[in-house]
Amino acid sequence: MPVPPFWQSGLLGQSLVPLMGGTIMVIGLAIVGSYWMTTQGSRDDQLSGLAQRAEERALREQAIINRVERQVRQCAAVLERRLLAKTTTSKVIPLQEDGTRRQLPLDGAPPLAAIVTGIAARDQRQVDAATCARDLLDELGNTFAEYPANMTIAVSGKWMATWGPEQVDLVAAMLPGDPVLLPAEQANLTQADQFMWSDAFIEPASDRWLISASIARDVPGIGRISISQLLPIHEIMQRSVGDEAGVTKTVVFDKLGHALAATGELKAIQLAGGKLKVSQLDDSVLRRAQVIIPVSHESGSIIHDPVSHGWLSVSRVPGPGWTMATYYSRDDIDAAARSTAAWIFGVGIFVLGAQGILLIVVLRQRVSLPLLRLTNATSLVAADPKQTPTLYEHRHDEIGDLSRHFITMAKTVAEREAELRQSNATLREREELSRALIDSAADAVIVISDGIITEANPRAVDLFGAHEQGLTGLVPAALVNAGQMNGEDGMKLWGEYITAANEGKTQHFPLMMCRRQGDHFDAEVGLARVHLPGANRLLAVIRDVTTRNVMERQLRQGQKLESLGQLAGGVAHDFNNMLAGIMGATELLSHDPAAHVDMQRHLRSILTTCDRAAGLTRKLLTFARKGQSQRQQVDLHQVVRDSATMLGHSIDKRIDIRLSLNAAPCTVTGDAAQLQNAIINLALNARDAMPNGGQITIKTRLTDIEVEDAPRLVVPLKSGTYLELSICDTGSGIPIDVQPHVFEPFYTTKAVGKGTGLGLAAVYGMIVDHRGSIALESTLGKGTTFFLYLPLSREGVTSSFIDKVVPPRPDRGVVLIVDDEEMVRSVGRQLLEVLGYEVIEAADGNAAVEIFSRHHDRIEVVLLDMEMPGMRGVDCLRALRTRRENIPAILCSGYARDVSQEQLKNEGFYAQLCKPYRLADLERVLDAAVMSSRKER
Amino acid sequence: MLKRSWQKKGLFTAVMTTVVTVPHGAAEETSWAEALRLEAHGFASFGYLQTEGNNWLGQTENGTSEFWEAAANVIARPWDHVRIGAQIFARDLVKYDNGQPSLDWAYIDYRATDAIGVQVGRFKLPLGLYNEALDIDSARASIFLPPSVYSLRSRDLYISTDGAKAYGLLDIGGGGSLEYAAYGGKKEFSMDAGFATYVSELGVGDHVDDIVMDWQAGGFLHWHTPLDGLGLRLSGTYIDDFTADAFFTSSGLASYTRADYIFAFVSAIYEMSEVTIAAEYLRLRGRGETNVPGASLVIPLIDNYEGTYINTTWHAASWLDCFVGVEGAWVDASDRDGTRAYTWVAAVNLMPLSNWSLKVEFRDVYGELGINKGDNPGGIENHWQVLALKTTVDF
Repeated sequence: MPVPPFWQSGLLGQSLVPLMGGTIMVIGLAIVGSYWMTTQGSRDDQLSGLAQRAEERALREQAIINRVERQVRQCAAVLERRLLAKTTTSKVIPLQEDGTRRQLPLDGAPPLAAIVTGIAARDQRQVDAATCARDLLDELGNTFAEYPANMTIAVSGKWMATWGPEQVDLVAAMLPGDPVLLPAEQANLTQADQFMWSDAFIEPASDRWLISASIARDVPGIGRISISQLLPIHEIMQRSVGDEAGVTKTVVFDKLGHALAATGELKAIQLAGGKLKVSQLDDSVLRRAQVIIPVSHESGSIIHDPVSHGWLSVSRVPGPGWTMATYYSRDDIDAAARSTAAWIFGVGIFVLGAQGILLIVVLRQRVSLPLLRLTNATSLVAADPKQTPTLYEHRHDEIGDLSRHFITMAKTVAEREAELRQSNATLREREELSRALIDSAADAVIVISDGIITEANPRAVDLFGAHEQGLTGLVPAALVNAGQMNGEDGMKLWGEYITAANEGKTQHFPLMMCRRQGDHFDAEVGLARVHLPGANRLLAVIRDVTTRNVMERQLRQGQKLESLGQLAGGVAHDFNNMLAGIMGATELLSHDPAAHVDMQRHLRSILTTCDRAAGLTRKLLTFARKGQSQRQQVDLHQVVRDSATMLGHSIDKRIDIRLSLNAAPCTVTGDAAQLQNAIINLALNARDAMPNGGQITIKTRLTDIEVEDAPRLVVPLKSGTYLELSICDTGSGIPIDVQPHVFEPFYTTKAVGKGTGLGLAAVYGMIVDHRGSIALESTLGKGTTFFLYLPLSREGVTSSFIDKVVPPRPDRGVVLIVDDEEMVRSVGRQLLEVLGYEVIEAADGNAAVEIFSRHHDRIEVVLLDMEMPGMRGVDCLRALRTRRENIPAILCSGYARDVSQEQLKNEGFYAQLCKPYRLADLERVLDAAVMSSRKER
Repeated sequence: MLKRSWQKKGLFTAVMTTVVTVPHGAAEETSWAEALRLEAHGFASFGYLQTEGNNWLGQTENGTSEFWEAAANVIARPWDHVRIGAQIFARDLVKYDNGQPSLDWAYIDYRATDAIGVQVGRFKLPLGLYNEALDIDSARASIFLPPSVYSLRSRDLYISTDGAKAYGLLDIGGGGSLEYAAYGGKKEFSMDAGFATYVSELGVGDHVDDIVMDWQAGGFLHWHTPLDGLGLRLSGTYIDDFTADAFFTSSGLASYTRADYIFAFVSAIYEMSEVTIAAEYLRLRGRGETNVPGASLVIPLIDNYEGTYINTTWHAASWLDCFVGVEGAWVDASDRDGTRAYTWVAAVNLMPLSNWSLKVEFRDVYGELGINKGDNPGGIENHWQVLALKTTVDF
């Protein structure tokens, strides 16, 4: 910032300078006014003085003229009388030896006219006259205090005597009888006592303008005598002007306008072969004199010259009829005024200066310095409020008040500064804390100012994948997914929320948002207005709830499916019992020799249908995770191959089945039959999605499941390595609104009779039972892929169902069948009898124990139901084992609710037979059990 | 059951010894054999098989000698019009049969007249031109009967059935003669035989528990046309309630297959002095289902097989037969673009001796039909070749 000039800075500069300027202006005006007034007054005075001087000058001139005239008359009278008296006292001053005239001793006394001696007077009378004249002059010289200068006595026109200082030489050169050069009119005065002034004439010897005052007297016997006094006009003017001669311009001009004399700076009037008119003077001012001064102006008048702005004073000399004009220039007139004014101005300036200096000093001392000190104090206090500068608190003026108030203010400022510092520190701390909270927040926080994102915390950048380009400057709507889960328009929704938030209503809402890469996620958004003056800001807190939503959906789905499973399991169990009865009776009928061929066909149809029904209940039980599942180390690849073989022969030949089995190892712990069932079900679903043919690809690989995979999985999995089995088709795909329901039992999109809706439900139950998970990816028109994730087994494959191969048929023995269902017991008995076994029935566990106690040595195998009133199958077997430790027991159950396969084996069951069972299955298991029992015996 | 071991070879040796010994051992006496007019015949074949492009019938791409057959039969004629016979057969066709001896046929035949005769017991099924000569290697110049019509793997299904057959020859005057047969019966299958192995490849389970049929019936009509050497035949069989129970050893998942089948053959043969042209067409229809209770899966079984061939045998010399033929087979007759196979066959039969033949057969196959995916895990070539060598000694 440029430093202002000093008159614009500081109180002194800013205040005093204008003050001074104002003062100067005022005083200057006053001075100017005074000057002008003084000038005017002085001018008037001067002009008055000039007029007076002019008048005095005129008087002096008149006095001179009068005196001259009087001298001349006196001289004439004296002369006449002497002439008449013929008394003279003359002295003869002899010529000098060289013949020149002598100078009369002057010794202060006016010189006398030289008297011509040595010349013989031609005329005694003339000599007398000369002597008289000489004597007269002497006498005049003695008489008049001021002797008339240049007085010339002429007798009869001839010179007689002259004296005057200037005439010494001249006089000395003249001889009596030399003609006196007089104006003709004077030289030839004819009238006695006629006094007259001559016109100005130039004396040739001196080139001076002279004027003579002459009087003639006729002296009897002598003649006419004339006394003339020659007067140099210039001398008269000099004497009349006096001490103004050096400073004024004066011109004397006669009635004809001839310049007779001029003073001052004018050059000596030069004769140019004639009389020089005033108008021919070099000096313009003097030239104007004649023009300006009209004749009518009286002596002593002051006339203003409009051209030169000067004045001309008029002096009339009546005698010779001269006019003497003295020019006073304006400067001359105003000189005094100027002088006065200058004096006043000087005084004024001095006063002003002194006043200013005084004012400056005083103000500086009294105001500026204290103010400066206050300023410094302000700076000090501003720098350090704790400072307590020394000020002028002791003064009893405004500065003192200011100082005291300043100190009070400084203290207050110090206190408030301390408070403010504290507050700022607290505020900074809170701000830092807020910033740290926002930056470290697990949720995205963005600030929207006037519809544009102006701030975003690191989590926001990370959440929206904007690491490269950032989020600032974006329109928030760019982060909203256009399509929402419920089909609404995301932009419209966002606009409504923004509008409400701008109105001050805090908004909390779910929204599907879109990352910069294009993928979307579920979010919960909190939108609130930030109240700041002059700014329209919204604060948005965005939380990615995709995982939570997925987990909630999974939980809800799991709970839903669990409930359904409970229901389904119960239904399936009861249904299985009924099926067992139906199938058992049917098999008995089919073994009846009386059954003819058509009957056999129908019975086979019933059995086939019962198989299907059992399959459905098995699926339900699998879904409910109540199915009979065995835990073995299963070679999943072999299961896949077998499934593919079956599918290759069973499904549309236009469907190409491809295998890509890359998992190593490929052993999982589980039930191979359920796994194969799941694969076949998934493949059949794939087949149904490709009515015109296509491709089914079954792949396996090992994959690592991380937390980030949770949203994909129907059932959550712990992080780790799993075997991924994928079944991919190129079918029509599953609509996104259907996908959440595909694992629900009885949910199907197929036409009535074309699907039971249990296939995927069973797959779900199986995968959960195997502690795995399942994921689904589908694109309409492109296909669907199901992903099964199974925990790996590091043990070798143990699953083999070679033991299902029918062993050699042993001799039949006695079987104890224990079941609380009378129908099951009845059918079971008949089936066993068909097989050749002898059967003993027990309706419950207690009865079984009692019967076994009596027949334990005959009974070779026990068929036990698990769920019986009073005593469960497990407990019954324990009781039986107390009678015979190694009795083989076969568990017959719709499902093992709370007894695992491991526990069954631990409890000593030889095998498990799932209801409803076929005669062949019953035969196989019984035969194996009997053989085993007999071996141990 | 007999395993592929010294037991199989021992039985074979025993049979052969008996067969060889009996007819020639008692010429001077009216032995019981003579009384019964006992005849014993048989043959033994050893071969080598190699394929290029695909494994066929087993692991054959690297060549295999698991390719032999042997049979021994005894026929007695205790009375006129009565004939009693039986044949034991064993073969190893790479992975099929594996030398399991089986009773090919054993029946009592009573020929009342030319027009009517009856066979009771296990009799050969009169299917097509050559089914009854499945076991007569010398009856053909080629090594293999056209697989498009005569399934190599299903020999024990095709060869015979247990029941009764009526047959005869009717002279229809200027129309030539008409040969006929009608039969009914049922049979059981050995789980070690080739057919069970074949069934285990059909995707119902790699372990076949049981294969049964309820009954079987069929017949043929062969018209010996007035044109000398030209014969036309219609033949077929119906199998009712064919069942196969199997399970997957990897999972225990069991399957129960039920189906009814009908085989219909249309055949023509023209035998000239040195050239024999034969052509046949087979249509196999099957309807049933495979029930996989464990998977709640019921697989509809619809077979609509179609196979045909035409071949020519040129009896170039008494010791040389040349054979060429072309075959076609379609898994689904309604989808000729589906799984199919076209085969060009060329064979040469050298007969240095009357009971000794040396055959070489080359087959150039276009198609996947007949190839087991399990034997070709690396994929199936659409164009592949077979080279077979076989020598047979019969007696």
